Amino acid sequence: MKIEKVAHGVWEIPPSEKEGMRVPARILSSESLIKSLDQGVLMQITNVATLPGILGHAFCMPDGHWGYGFPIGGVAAFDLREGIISPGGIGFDINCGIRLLRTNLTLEDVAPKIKELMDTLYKMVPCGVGSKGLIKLSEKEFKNVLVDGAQWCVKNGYGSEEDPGRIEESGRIEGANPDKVSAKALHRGLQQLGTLGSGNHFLEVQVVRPENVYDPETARVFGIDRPNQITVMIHCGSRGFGHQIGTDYLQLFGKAMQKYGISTGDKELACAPFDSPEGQDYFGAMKCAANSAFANRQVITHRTRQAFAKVFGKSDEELGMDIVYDVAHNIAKQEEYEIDGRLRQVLVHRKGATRSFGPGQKALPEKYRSVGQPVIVGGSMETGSYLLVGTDHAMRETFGSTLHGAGRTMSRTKAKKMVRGEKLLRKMMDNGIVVRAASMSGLAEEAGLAYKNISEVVEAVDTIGISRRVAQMLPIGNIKG
Amino acid sequence: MAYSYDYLPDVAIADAAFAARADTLTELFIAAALATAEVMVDIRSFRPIIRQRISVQGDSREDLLYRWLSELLYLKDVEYLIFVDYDIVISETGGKVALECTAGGEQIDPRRHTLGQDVKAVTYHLFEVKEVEGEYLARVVLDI
Repeated sequence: MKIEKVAHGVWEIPPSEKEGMRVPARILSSESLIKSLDQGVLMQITNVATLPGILGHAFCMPDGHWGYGFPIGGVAAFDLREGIISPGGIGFDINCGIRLLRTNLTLEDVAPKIKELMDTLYKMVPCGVGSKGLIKLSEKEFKNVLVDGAQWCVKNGYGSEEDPGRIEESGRIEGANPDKVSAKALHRGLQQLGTLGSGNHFLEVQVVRPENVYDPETARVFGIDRPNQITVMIHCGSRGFGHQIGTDYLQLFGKAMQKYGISTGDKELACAPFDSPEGQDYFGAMKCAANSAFANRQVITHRTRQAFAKVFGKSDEELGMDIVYDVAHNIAKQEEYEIDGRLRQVLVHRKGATRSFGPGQKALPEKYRSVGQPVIVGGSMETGSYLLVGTDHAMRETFGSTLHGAGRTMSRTKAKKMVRGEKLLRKMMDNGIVVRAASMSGLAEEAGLAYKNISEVVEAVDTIGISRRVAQMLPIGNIKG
Repeated sequence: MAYSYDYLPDVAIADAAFAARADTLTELFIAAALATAEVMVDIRSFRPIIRQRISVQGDSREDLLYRWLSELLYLKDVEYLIFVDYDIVISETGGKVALECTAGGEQIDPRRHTLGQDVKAVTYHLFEVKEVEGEYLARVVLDI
């Protein structure tokens, strides 16, 4: 496949390379990362470029890797009338996302108690296959969660009044429609609120060392304001509820495509016109899953604060455990961009990609509006994570989008053959990272060697300009499902 | 009477892919169910203590396998059940395919069972069911 460099950090595949491509595909990368790009990404991002109503370019972020339907790291915007909506462009784990909490604690406060802290967190935040949720809800009440998201949690005592204002969409996406959700999805979701899940999901206690603060002024605005400060990162999504919505609509859209005469060549890219009853039904159901994921991270935040309060004998207010921000990285959203000189509403799909709004955007909390949106990037559990800030360049070039993580380079099956969970656990312990894991084989699959070098990936987006480095967080404790 | 399954190391690297083969269609569905269960738990630590009837219908063999595996994921989340023993009958009539199963398994208990990765969903990516010279083959990518 012909792939040519068109700008610094930007490679393009022209529409002539695959039948049906409506726009060019663009891979954002670096000279060294592009060499290790897997072929699955090229196949999948060019498939995305064939979808009806796609605008501009089909993008793949520097952490991109082979997924299903869209590649992980895929971003595409669609015209609201001519375009489609596709569950394969969002993922089964709708609103899988990351939340970052700050604290007033420093490494000196936490290091002596880190084992006790991780044990307490492991007890208080259910994780792993078959874990049971923290809150028992009736079906009626669960539907309120689907409409009100994190705001339901705060109303019901799981969080503070200030929390929703520090979450993308204030933790509640308008227009969620529980009537478009199957009974099966409701049943799967009912018992899972407040569970972490497994796979690459984690709850991590981190330290921000002074040498890893790259933009102290912006860091201060985000609440990163003292040397060796402790932060907490929560990475999880909408659990079985979202997974069932994806499953239900993927099957439904297979039939809708015949009805609307759409063919994609990949069953996983099943889609429906956005402006159709099927498309709107899915959008309404997807918003329910997105809100349930915000609520899930909110309940886990509440338990995390309780765990810290118990171990350190102070209230969470005294500990200063505020949310820095909460970003979705598997979602479709209606947003406005300037295209060909005029402002247009479009439907942006982000699958394994994060919104990266620059300064001045009304959607941002007032306290962040002057600097831009906090972008939270989860790395592998061995190498650390990053806090970035959104830019104007992202608004102009990538529909306000950037990367979401390090990106895998090795399959789970291979990683499991190369690494033993117990050995990895000891190695991480020797490196000052206390791990509590529900699954040793699952831990092995998440070994650092299975991922790209996060610093290299972050450097790529920083250089391209679609987000800027603010600080790096290094793990000292990790909970894996 | 035989079936087997292998995990594919170079497909959809963030997820879990497997290829199953069997002498009969029924065995293919057993192999795919076991391959899915084994991603989530060490199936050797599970016994068929609880028996449950499961019925699924589909428009084709592919559709039926997708729905069968999705149903098992549903039961994992809602009833915490993982099955390791399957008594399956598949009937094909007038373009419809139906599966009736009595499955044996038990509820997940982290104190007694070795856990693996939770499976979120069955994807259609490279999804395939076919019959080649009397052998039944399936390829499935599970979302992790």
